Amino acid sequence: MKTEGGSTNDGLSLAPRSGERVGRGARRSVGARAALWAVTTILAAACSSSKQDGPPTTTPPTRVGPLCSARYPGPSPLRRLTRIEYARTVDDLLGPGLVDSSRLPPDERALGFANNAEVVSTGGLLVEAYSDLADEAGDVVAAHAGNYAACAATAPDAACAATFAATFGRRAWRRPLATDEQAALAAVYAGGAADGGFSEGIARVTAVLLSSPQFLYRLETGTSAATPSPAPAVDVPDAVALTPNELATRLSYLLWGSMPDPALLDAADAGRLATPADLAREARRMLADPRARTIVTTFHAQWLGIDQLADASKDQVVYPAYTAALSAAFTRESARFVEEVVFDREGTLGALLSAPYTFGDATLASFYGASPPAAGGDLITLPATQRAGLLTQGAFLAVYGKANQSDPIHRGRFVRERLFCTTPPSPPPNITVRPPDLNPRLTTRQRFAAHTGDPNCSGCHILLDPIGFSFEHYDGIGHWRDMEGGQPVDSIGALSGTDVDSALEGAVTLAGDLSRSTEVQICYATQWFRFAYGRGESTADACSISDLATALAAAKGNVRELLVALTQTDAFLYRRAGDLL
Amino acid sequence: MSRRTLLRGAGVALALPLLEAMHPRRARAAAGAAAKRFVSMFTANGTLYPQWVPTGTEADFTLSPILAPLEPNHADLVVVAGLTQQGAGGDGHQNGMSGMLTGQSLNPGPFQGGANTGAAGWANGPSVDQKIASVIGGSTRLRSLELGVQVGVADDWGRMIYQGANQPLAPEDNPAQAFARLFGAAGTTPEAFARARARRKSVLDAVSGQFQAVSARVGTRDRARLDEHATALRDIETRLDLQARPSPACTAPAVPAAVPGHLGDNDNFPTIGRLQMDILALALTCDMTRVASLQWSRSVSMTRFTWLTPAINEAHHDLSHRGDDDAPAQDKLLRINTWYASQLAYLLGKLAAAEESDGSRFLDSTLVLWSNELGKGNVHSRELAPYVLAGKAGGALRTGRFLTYPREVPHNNLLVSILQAMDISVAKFGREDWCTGALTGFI
Repeated sequence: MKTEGGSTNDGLSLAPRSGERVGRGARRSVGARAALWAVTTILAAACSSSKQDGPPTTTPPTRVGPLCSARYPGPSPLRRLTRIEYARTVDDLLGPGLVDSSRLPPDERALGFANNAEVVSTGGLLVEAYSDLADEAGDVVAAHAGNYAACAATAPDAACAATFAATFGRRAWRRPLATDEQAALAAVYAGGAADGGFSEGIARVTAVLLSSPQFLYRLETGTSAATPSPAPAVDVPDAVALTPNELATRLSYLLWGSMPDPALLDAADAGRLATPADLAREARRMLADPRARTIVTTFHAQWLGIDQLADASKDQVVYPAYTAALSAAFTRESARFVEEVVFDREGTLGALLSAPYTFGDATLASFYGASPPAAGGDLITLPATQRAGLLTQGAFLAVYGKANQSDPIHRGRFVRERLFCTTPPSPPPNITVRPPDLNPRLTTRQRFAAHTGDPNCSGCHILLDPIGFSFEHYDGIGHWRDMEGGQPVDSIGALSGTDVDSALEGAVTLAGDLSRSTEVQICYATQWFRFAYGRGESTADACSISDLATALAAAKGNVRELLVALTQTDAFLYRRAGDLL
Repeated sequence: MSRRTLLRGAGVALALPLLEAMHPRRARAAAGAAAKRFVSMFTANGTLYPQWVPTGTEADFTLSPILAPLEPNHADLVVVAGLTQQGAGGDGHQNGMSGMLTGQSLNPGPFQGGANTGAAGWANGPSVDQKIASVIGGSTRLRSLELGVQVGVADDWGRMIYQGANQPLAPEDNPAQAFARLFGAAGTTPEAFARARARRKSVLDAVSGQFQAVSARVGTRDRARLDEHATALRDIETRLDLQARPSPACTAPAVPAAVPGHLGDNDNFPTIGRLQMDILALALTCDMTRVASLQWSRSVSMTRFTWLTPAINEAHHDLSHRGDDDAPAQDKLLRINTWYASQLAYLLGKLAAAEESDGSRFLDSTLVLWSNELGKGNVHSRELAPYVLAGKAGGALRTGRFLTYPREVPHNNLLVSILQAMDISVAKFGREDWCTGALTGFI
């Protein structure tokens, strides 16, 4: 069923009320609204209880392109440095590997991403670790003072400490320090110097800087008369443009997951971050830096959930081949593949989903039934009928595989949720779910056939299983199989309710469909929105997401262009004044 | 030794093997009546009620197959059956986990629950242990100690302890880190400690001012977050002097052997659990804290109990969804829950073996609660939720009892009774409409 030109008040739209936050999988209306509406309609028809957010009470700002004229920055919850950002920032500040921050507790994770500012929590364990790490940073600076303040070698005195506080402080706080802030640090230095000389003084200054809210949080006050706006005039009274330093910080954490480099700080201070074009110029410069590669691999690892692979546990009786070494090889493979595709090869989402090659050693090549890479290289040409893109790699298949068997339901669910941004319902409460036992004479597909036979299940599983069954040639660790339970594997499936509906025969055909889908492109842009801005989207973000999807389409799916576009949206350039008060 | 560790476990000196140190002759140096302690322990995915519930009367009962490992502590137990665990928002695991100790529903948020339940955030109030810590946690080095065993992703399926609404507390699930936090400074000289303390004090003073200044310039929600941080800083500051206090009469253990391989490896589960129980018991008996918790895995636990005989290779959660007529699955769930009971028995054994300064058993001044996010796993029901308590709470609680309540009684009432046993006078706890007062006949 396909419906063209769905209304935003169709009663089935999952768009939330204005200002309401949106959970995973809620749809928003953008360029391909009609197609998304069709998905919704089909979901609702097949699953009577699939409505997630209730009918909208207002028409969200859905204008696309030239119609999207008003500025809607969306909410800007306060962001704290994540564990990854903290580690990289301290490495950039002090030098790599000098402070080990691995003891920080894990970041809260929502909508798939471990940087969601809405669920950040702060307990004693975290704050204690921050204090300890700041002390350690102080020790590092005290022990190698000359590396951080040249004057320390010749004239270790209060004047030298003031120079250190101003220069190191500007880097740590990502903006120049105000006079009163420098005076406060001078007092800290004086106390330390009285107790333990110059080195204790600058150790304490360092510890204060790294324990401070200005370092740990990305505080944003917005522009004032003293800090002119770099962004175009605002036509919503509620929206406030950010200062050049605040934008420099948004840029560097978006593209590098770390603090601005000297060039970026200088550009901000010198008024060279004055227009969106300036931001785009800096973004392109920064994308050429290796630090951008790490962010791109981190995004994909979290989006796909494959950063959970290390904790995935497999039944060693069923899968003796699944070793720690194989798991590590999978993780390396996916990261390397993403990096190569995005930065060194096609550069596109389509290639990520369907490239006929991967990277690894002879062992991995053998796992995939491929020829070993050429001597000195790691490029593996995959068997074309068996593998294509991220969803046929070991990392994905093992994470979305059970301990002792494949997992068509969760593989199908993943495609709906993370690639189409729709939320298929979970089993209704108070029913007994009974995953079929292993049976040596049946295939997984046959054992799961109950879903299509039981009317309580089939209404929703029709959305999941036909996608998941297309992966049936891969077992619970991603190994290819032609036979299961003494019978040939059947990987016939179907993709329905999407803009690329088709009959499927194996995951390679699915990969081809996904790589051509506009809906997948929009969803991918939405996932980047969540990751880049550290929050779920709200209706106020419709224009921002529309801009991203449009830019990605215009760039023929180029991921780096999407990253540049992420620096140009309302959500990036502004924040709501209400969040300031 | 790095400077940070100087502020950890200060005053505790001398290394002894861990097990030896687990039996301090005197748990605390202070004279007078023993202080009370509270410990909570969580295990996941519901239980098998018929195999869990004891038989007999309040005073004369026989432990069930699942609780059989607790037979050595029969006289220390209060088994509470029949209550309905409250929860709302998100899915059954999510709100069971979050409501278990808070008696609160989940606030809105982005954690997408299963079963058509929509998204949810964090619980809307403090957990019972943190309420207790707010009263009795002021004089120890840590306000409370949260430990875990492979607790997984940081979301509301994996958090049970809340300092307040929307303030989940992360458990430390790395024994080496937990150990370093408590005992890392064994052997520190007083001079080195004084230097570290002076720096910490100076830094905290300066940073507190910064938090005040920026907090005034942000919106309400952001301010709440910054205030939470500032409160945690103040807590560190007020405890600086407690760290400098002379050590209680117990000795620091040797660093425990490292957990082999990757900490998250399924098969490390029992090893990590044992280490965490040792650390937890030591922290209590050394009076480093009086409130502690141990979270085994998380709701929807996927742990595979491969170390049992015969090995169980299916994930716990998958098994918990099998039907009541599935005999092999029932047998495995019975063995899983029985194993957890044996872990509690180990912990109780530790606490029973330690002595207060007056020679009484440490367990007698302690109250221990074992609970689960669900009652019946395969239907996600929170009715007939399994609660096992142990310890006399300093004489407030008569033990060796089996209590049954009608299922209309909300578990919030148990939380009220726990608070009362800990000498905290409240009429209600958690969500008002989920609480009708203390449990009848509990104390």
